Amino acid sequence: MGLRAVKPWIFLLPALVIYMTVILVPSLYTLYLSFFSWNGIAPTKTFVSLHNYIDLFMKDTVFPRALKNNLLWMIGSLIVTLGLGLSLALLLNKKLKGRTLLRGIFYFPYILSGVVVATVWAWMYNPTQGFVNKVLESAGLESWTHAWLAEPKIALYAVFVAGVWQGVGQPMVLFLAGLSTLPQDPYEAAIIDGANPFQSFWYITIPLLQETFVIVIATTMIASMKVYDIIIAMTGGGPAESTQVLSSWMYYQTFKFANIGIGSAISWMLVFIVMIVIVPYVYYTTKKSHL
Amino acid sequence: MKKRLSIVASILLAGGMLAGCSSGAGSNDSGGAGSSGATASGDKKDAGQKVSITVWSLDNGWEWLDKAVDDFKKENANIDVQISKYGTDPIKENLKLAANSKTLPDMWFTWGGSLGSFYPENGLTQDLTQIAKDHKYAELYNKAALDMSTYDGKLSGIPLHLNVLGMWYPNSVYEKANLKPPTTFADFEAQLQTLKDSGVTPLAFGSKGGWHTMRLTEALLEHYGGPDLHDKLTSLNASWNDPAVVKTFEKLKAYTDKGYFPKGYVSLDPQEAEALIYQQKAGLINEGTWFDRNLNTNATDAKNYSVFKFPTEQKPARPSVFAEMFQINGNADKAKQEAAVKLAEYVTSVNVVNKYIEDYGSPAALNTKISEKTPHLKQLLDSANDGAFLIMDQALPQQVIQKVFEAQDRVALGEWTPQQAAQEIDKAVTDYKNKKK
Amino acid sequence: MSGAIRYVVLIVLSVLFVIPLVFIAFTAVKSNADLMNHPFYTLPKQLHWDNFLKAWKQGRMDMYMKNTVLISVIKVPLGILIEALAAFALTRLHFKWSEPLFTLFLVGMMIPMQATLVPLNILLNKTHLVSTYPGIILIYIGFGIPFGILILRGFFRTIPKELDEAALIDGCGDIGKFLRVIIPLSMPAIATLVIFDFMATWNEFLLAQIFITKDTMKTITTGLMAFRGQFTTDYTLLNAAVLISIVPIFIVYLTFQKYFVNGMAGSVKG
Repeated sequence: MGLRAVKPWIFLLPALVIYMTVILVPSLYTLYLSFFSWNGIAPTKTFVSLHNYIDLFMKDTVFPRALKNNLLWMIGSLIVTLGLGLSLALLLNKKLKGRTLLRGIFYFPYILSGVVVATVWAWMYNPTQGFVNKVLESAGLESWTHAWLAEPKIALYAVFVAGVWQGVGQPMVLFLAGLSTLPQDPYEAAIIDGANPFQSFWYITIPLLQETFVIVIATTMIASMKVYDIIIAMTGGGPAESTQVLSSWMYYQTFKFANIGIGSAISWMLVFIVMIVIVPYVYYTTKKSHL
Repeated sequence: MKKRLSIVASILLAGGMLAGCSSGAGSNDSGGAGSSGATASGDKKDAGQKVSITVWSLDNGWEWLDKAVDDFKKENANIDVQISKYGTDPIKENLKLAANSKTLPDMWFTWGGSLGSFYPENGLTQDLTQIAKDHKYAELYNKAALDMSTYDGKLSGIPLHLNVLGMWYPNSVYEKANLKPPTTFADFEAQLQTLKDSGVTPLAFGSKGGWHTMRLTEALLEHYGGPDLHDKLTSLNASWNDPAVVKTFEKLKAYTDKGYFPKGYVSLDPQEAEALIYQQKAGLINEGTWFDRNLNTNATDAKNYSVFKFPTEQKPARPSVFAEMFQINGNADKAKQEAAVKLAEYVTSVNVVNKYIEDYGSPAALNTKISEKTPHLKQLLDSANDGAFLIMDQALPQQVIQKVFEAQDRVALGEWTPQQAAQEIDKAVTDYKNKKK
Repeated sequence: MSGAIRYVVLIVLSVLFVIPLVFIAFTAVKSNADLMNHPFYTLPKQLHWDNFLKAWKQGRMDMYMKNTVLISVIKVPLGILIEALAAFALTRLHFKWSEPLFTLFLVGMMIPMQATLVPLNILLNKTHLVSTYPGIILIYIGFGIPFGILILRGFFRTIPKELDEAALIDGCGDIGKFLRVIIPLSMPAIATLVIFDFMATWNEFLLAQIFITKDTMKTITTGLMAFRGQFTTDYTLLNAAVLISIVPIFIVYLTFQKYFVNGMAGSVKG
């Protein structure tokens, strides 16, 4: 029947229209721009087909490093930030005295703007006057002190720690929401069957949280590819471009160097890379649980 | 005596400006902003043609601009001014964005050099060369400021600020180490060691973002390369793979290895380096005409600090400078352009500067008063009288300066030799030029 | 995990977490001279509570907060409604385009905002929507759609089909199903979205800077920028301003996190 087929589209209409106007069409325009060499103003653009993309891998000295940094950040986020968020959600799910306060403490950093987070942590990492080194020195661990943000090998990880502090609130809240939708019956049945807490967790909680996992994994992956504020504010991409990420490098290319084509190419590389992983993952989980 | 003269001069100038404007309005053709077809002639005080202009400026510390604009509006009832304010980085982004989407305001604030060149290079600004001649800018503004607002021989901005840089130090630190400002380069280097021995950090610099340490780099480059080569390098007319460049980076490495910089300075925020100066735990920092205000806020008093010109041992002995200006939209209609020029000239005029001198910053206008709170302003401005070079992160294209920043870091970290640094920067210059073709 | 161990772990973690927050609070009540002249983790030499007043004034927070409240209060419910309708269609109305369309929405989440700025700037200028509430709200809704659909779709999928059938038997059409079954059961999801969406809108900086040029309409993030000068940043006032600006977000969080309660109250059996 005609109406039956049209109905979904009616429900989808507002979202689709706004989404296409605000996001999709501008993004496609950016994709179009990525095949040109242009400074954003000149009346003529020079068509370069795939050269912007090829140059990113072959000539650009920063792009490969930026890409690697994003992937490291992603792996770190999926393991540490997600893991910590899940653990906190599980711990804070049961009734506890002071639960609201504790949840608030872990969530609080997430609402702070990236600039403030970056500044506080940069000061904490200050090699001579910073809190971290002072604590290490007082604990007699002076050999462990470092110029945390100044050594290319560890700078990204130092920023990442700040990123975990800021970011753990998001997966925690998402998992709390997910846990609150879980039915009690399976747990009761499992206890009757003699299952221990770990088994309940592994065989009941995790599978039932599948949809939440999809959400958390998707947002974590996408956020780690797009990470920007905290890096720019803490290290500016340095030292020696060692903490550049795709978003910050795209910013440099587009706004500082006026290489619109290359900036656009970087944006779309970001999209392609995420799509490669996320799209199959979403399809796989959709198929698994019979819709 | 000087004050009275300058007031008389300003009145004459103001009169001249007004006269210039009304004749301008008379010759205004009826096209454009769809205002009433009323032919405006002569007295623009009658509300015949109302013009509305949009202005973009910085926010923090610019409260004086609002007051100055209010004063302006009182004198010019037919000009309505809408100011939008932005932070330091947002204004750069938003201007670029507006340029790309053809939505630039009628008048905007910008820095000089390659930060502001984008607009005149792409035909977006009004050519003010004739107006400058007619309104005698050469007598109103510091020559260095005018030069920095000129692109390709055409004046593209009305100068607002001229900032001059120098080496600052806390008096207490120098007294304790029994030092006086160095007159030779060898002196300067010897002082670095003396400062270190006296227990302070000799050079308070932070390389995060690259531009702070760059101030030292360019001073060294001026010393080793001389004014001629320095200018050729920044205008990309000489190869950067040059002994002067190599020597510059060798010094950066040497100073790093000798521990003259703060620990971890490679990623230190410049403001954290400044803190060392405020705490009088460091010897030297390279800052500019604005630094008095910083010292007054964060340290005890600007009077407890002194400044000297970096001993480049060159003739002329040039400090680093940069200018800030208002650019006028080249594609706005004539009435708006005239109103904007009028406003820009007003807020950069001697009278306005003097009225708001406490907060104005370092003016590009000549013959202004000096505030007690900025005791080092005149000294620094005078230090540029024999000549100056444009600060490097505005003189070079952004792509190239980014490579210089990277080189600074890598040399300090021991990842590149000074020779490699010179080669890499040269390569970046070549790449940039190839792209431009 | 036994109760005591649980507590110890939580206390240790929360102390570690709170340390930087304490420093932010210290910074907010210090004077600039204090901040610049002593290591930053030290206690304030003097408590400058007037920093908050100064930040409020200098950051024009009264005006900016009003604007931000207005934008958020319209954008968040409206956005959630639009997203819920779409997620409902994708999960409850059987049609073969759900997965491709969902992927399409998801792709939008991956696009960095900076990539869309020029076309959006042109669009808003052509439609005269710059510095208007409809303009910025439209853009915000657009950017919020992918995340909102992701969450709501995920949660809708956990609601058992049996309830749909029950509603059908009760004579509910699709709208009825939507309003009486799906929405009430998704309160944790909706609460989550309110929390995140409100916060994202409140803290949003990039788009607000570009698309709101009229000073009287600017948002609170602009106010925060007022403390970053060309030559120096006033960190004491900045931190004070940040603490002021997040109060509403925190209130929203506390209000809506009550929905994270255990189990689905009275629905499943049968």
